[in-house]
Amino acid sequence: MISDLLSRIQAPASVRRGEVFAVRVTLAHPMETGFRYDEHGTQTPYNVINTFVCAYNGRPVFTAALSSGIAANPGFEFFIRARDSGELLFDWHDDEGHQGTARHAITVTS
Amino acid sequence: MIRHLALLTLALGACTSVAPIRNIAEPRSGVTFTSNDIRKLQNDDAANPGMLWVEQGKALWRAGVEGAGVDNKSCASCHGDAEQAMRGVAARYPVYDAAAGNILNLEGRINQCRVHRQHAEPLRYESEGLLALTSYVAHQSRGMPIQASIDGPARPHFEAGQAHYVTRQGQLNLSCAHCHERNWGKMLLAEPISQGQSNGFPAYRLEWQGLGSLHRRLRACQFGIRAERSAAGSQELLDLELYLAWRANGLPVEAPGVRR
Repeated sequence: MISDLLSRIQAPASVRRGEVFAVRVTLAHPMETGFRYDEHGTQTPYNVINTFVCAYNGRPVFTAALSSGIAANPGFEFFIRARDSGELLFDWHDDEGHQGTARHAITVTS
Repeated sequence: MIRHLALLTLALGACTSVAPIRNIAEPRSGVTFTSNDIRKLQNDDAANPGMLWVEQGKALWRAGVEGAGVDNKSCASCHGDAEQAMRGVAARYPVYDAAAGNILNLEGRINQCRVHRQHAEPLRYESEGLLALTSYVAHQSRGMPIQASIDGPARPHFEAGQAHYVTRQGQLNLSCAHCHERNWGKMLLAEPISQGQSNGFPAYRLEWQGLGSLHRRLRACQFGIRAERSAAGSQELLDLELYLAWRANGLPVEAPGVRR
């Protein structure tokens, strides 16, 4: 994997108040099941993104608890209703203790 | 008359610039042999996981080469904005390079730049950094038709690649052509056999759960027919890559493609 912490976020920069908008996220992660062996016969330890949270102006609006069985580089798509201008904060953790963070500024017009 | 014919045949035999004819006149991209879901994944930049590497490549393009670089030059220091400078480049590759005395694919060109211009260590073939840069550069030609040239000094490499393509290999005793020219479109267990076109690479392969180079894909084919695998970046795979590019001429560059 390139980096456990890389991500791509797609969300509109500006939405009208009350409108529902889509947020699409791809996280770079190998999502190791723990069942794989490398060419030297060593078991690759279990390591998946276990928590993913999206907070809208500090308030969690989407959370996901992931486990094995989810493909590498998982993608999410979810919908949020626009309330106030501010920030979407994405935050995720894996079993090796790595943390990823991404931000997306959003302007709400009335 | 017979003598004239014999002379003509001799002349034709000696002349290597006779334009070769493709067995598949109108090539079809590998993505047309995949499922709807995979096509959607490839066509939607927000969903295409290969875009993670493209994004990383964009960052590497602008970042100076750490440590080894004399004046910490980045790709952008010389080439500027890749969206303009690299547009259409991947569609012409592999190309013959006089300085190298060999054909270079994108990976080879990036490493040539790193060694001679940036005075840095070459990136290891199939390393994440090289994959990211290659897919970023290739992505700038997306949608443009492949136009690989096999003229001049590239010709012997083309012929070597062609010879490789039709030579039986491995315990299954198959050549590339057996599957991808004689039997494309038929089913191999649950999967349709594609024409083996190279226009989607570097591609995100679901089987790999990651992005890989064309050479990695070719090695996977060699494994499948139980042949001895060529090293990634080796001469035989480079020659084969040129042959495949010529074979795919006219197909749009899809990098980063998505495949099964």
